[in-house]
Amino acid sequence: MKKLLLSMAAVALLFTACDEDKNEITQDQEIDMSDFYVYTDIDTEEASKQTQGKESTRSCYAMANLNRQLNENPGLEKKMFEVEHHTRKFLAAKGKPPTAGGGSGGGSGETDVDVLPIEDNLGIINIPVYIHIVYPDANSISNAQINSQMATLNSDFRDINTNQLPSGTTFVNDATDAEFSFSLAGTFRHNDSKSSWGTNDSVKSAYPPITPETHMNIWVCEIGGGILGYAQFPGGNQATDGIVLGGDYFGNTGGAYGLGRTATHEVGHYLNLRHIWGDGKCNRDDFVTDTPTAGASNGGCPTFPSVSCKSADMTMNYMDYTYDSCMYMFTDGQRNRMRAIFTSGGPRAAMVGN
Amino acid sequence: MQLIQFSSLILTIFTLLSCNSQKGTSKTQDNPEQKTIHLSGTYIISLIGTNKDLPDNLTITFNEANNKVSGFTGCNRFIGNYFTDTATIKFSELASTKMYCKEIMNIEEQLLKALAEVNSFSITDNQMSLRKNNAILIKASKEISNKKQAKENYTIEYSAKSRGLDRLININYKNISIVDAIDQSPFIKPCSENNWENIVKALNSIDIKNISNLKAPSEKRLFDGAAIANLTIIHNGRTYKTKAFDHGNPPKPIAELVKVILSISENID
Repeated sequence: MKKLLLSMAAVALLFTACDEDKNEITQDQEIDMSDFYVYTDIDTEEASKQTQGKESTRSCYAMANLNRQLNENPGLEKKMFEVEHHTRKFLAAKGKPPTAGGGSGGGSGETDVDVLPIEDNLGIINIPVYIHIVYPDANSISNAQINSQMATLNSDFRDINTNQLPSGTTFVNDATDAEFSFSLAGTFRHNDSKSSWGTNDSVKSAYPPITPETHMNIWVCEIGGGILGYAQFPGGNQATDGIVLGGDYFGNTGGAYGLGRTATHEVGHYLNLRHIWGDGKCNRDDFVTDTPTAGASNGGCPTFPSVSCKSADMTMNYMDYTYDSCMYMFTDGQRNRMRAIFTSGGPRAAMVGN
Repeated sequence: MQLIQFSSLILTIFTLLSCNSQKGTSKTQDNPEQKTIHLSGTYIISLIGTNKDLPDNLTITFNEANNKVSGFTGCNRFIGNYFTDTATIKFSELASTKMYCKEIMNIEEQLLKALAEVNSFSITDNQMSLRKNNAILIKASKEISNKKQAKENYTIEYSAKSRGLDRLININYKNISIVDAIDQSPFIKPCSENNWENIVKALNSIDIKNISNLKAPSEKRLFDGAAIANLTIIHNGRTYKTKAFDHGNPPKPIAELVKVILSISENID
């Protein structure tokens, strides 16, 4: 894992930080960004086995890497780094420090971390939604189907669904009311004969988003390639901001992905959530402390427990890859992370109050 | 069935030469700096004349202790004598068993004919070339058992996962299996020699031990813009695994291998 400590303070402070034990950093201006990644880096293999002392050495060594990466992609990565930094700064200031784990997924999986919802005074955040239907026959996606999708989003971002949890989990206290609502602001239908749009945002260039600063744009089209939907993290290009969903997985349809939860998952990304397994292996975290580390995605409808990284995976989390009927929760930590981007200075702060 | 005729083929000049040097085949007598060439061992034959399309069980074995040569033509075993000097070599009194194997006879004929014509050799890095004057008639490489095993001792796994795709492709020298966990349609087909050759060729340019360090050139999988791909190479019981990368955009060093894997899996039916 990329182990680097970035502080808000000057470079001089950084050198000091490298020599310190991570846990001793208490100054509230310093935010540990050591595990942040946009672009996977070399050298993660052995990092989890490193002793604390060696980790410190690595931290400083890795500084050069970050600089290089920022140089390679100054726009996006820097922006994403800033978004992440803002998020962490907010959470660090408002949230109770976690009692274990520290978010970097060290592997002490038995410890149950409980995160409390942060009071951010934003209330229920409403997100107005524009929907672009792009199909050879754009009327093939009915208003009823659209409404069923809106209903799913509105329940998934409010309901804790703890009654659905299997016995034996420690997840009851993690399930959250994320306090988001979604209102349909307009539907745009475009008859387009293109049969497969892929994931390179071409549908967005063909039918540009409408006021993406204040509205979430959803494109519904045929994607292809085994992709049910895809998203864009906050902080990205406004011209491609929003999510894209395959019509067969949009709203209540049928089959394993027929409950509209592809949208829930993609909106999770749109609101800055990572996959619950990070990017694979036990040392790639999702930056959320109350989700257990997981080595890889789970698919289908797993029987509890699915164990990886020495603990039961939270396969029922919307940010895993399980079937629609088998995912039914966000955690408090995910809630806080999603809402942080709406706070002052956050990338979606302009959406608040719509 | 065609009987193979073996001639003694002892050309005077070469005989004289080899007889003179026979005692010193494994030792350099005059020049201590001259590299001693040890012929002893078994070699796998990879080329006869211009024919590269050979089964990988063709062998030739040299025994320096008694100057005996033996081998396998793919169908029959042969034995004989050889005489050698620094760079010259001559086979004599080659004889073989006389089984008939329909597809192999042609190759056997080529091999034995070539052996009869050979008059010089060279060895570099365990690669032996047997020549007639300057023309290479036979190429063979040492430690055939190891090489054969090494060639066969690979298993390649490629997985691609998104919410709508869960495919595992497993290829070894025997079989190709493709398991699609979502539509539950696993199937297994034999891996053709040609397909396996392409895999091995692509593997040859990869630093296998280092694949876990490869950096994914793009990160679309983080927001579902690409399925999550992983490549695993199992070699001699050791498992080497890449980190996750985007399906459709592998790190460059493994790109050719991934291309071959996907092309094999897509063109199989």
